[in-house]
Amino acid sequence: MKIKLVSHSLVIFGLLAISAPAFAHHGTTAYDPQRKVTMKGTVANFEWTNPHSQIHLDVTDDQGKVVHWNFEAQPPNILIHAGWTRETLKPGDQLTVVVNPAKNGSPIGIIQKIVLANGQELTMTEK
Amino acid sequence: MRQSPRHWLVAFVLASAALLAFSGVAFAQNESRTPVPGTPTPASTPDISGVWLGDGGNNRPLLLQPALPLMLPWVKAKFNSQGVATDLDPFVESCEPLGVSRVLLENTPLKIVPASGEVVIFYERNHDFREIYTDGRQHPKDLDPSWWGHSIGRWDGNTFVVDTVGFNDKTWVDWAGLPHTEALHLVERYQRVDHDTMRLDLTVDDPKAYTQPFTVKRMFTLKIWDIGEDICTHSTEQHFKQEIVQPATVPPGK
Repeated sequence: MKIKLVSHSLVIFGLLAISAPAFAHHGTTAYDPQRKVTMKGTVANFEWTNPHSQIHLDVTDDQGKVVHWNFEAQPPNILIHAGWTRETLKPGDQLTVVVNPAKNGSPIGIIQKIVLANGQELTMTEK
Repeated sequence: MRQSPRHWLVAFVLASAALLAFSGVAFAQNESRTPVPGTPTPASTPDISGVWLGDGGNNRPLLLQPALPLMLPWVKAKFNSQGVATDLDPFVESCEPLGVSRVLLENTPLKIVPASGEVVIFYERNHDFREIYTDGRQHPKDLDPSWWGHSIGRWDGNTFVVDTVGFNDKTWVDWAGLPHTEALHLVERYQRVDHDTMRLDLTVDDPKAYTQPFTVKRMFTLKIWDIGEDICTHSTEQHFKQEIVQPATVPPGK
């Protein structure tokens, strides 16, 4: 019985330990860190705001249907140190994004990298 | 028109005053630009002033691992089998203050400003601040519990030691959701390793929540940055939830 209890505790602690790194401010556990997807589309809106900036991107899928994606990015105070400004993206801009998509299949994701029409690459971390 | 000597005297005085006034502005501007933040001063104690950013990127649940084997049963019960805190995050849900230990594990910078009889730390997150008294006072008896507690600091060789008590029990100890009680006692030890690097050792002691104290280390890098404005508001949090969190977390097929 004692051994069972100990092993049970170890399993729980193990689960806690494994899940810990994935936990963050707003629960990035919603995204799939193993999948990196590259998409190209047209910027519908860029929200330069707290708690997280957002990039709304219209992407044409394989069937020719336009899907409206919404991507989470870091807040302005962090992005400015990564070389972004509030003028970095404007509606109508052509944009390529590399994202971790939501696990549930919704057109939501978290930005890892963007590539502007002029080829400039920007990430989410300090330059 | 001929001016009288008295007029010339008045004009001279006014001109001199104007010159003095302008030179005063120029001097004040130059003075405000020096010293460069973080530049060591000839003071007898080490200088930890400046803007510092903690390592490791995103908000750190650094305290979870050392806390795991020390949790009292009521603390363990706060986590589900997936290791996620079951209580709602008081910061994300209600923009409540992060509290001392959690803000030190942030991915946004802090600014340390020595002042007369105290050291003030400004946090970019929420534009919050703490006063750490260095004038030799002790913690008052019968402190009213508060979000940031009562902090006193002293130099131990080249280490700035901050002792804080008097917390309420409404904050999380770190980003994983570790709870604490009003018995929480924090000790921060700041040591400047070199010009650009500072080490923090943070000790958490709450005998009503954990069987013994535990300590984590975090390194900070000096930044020549201004402190930005990263403020949590109910409206922006709600907007983010509606736009991102809810669609990203609804079960597939619903």
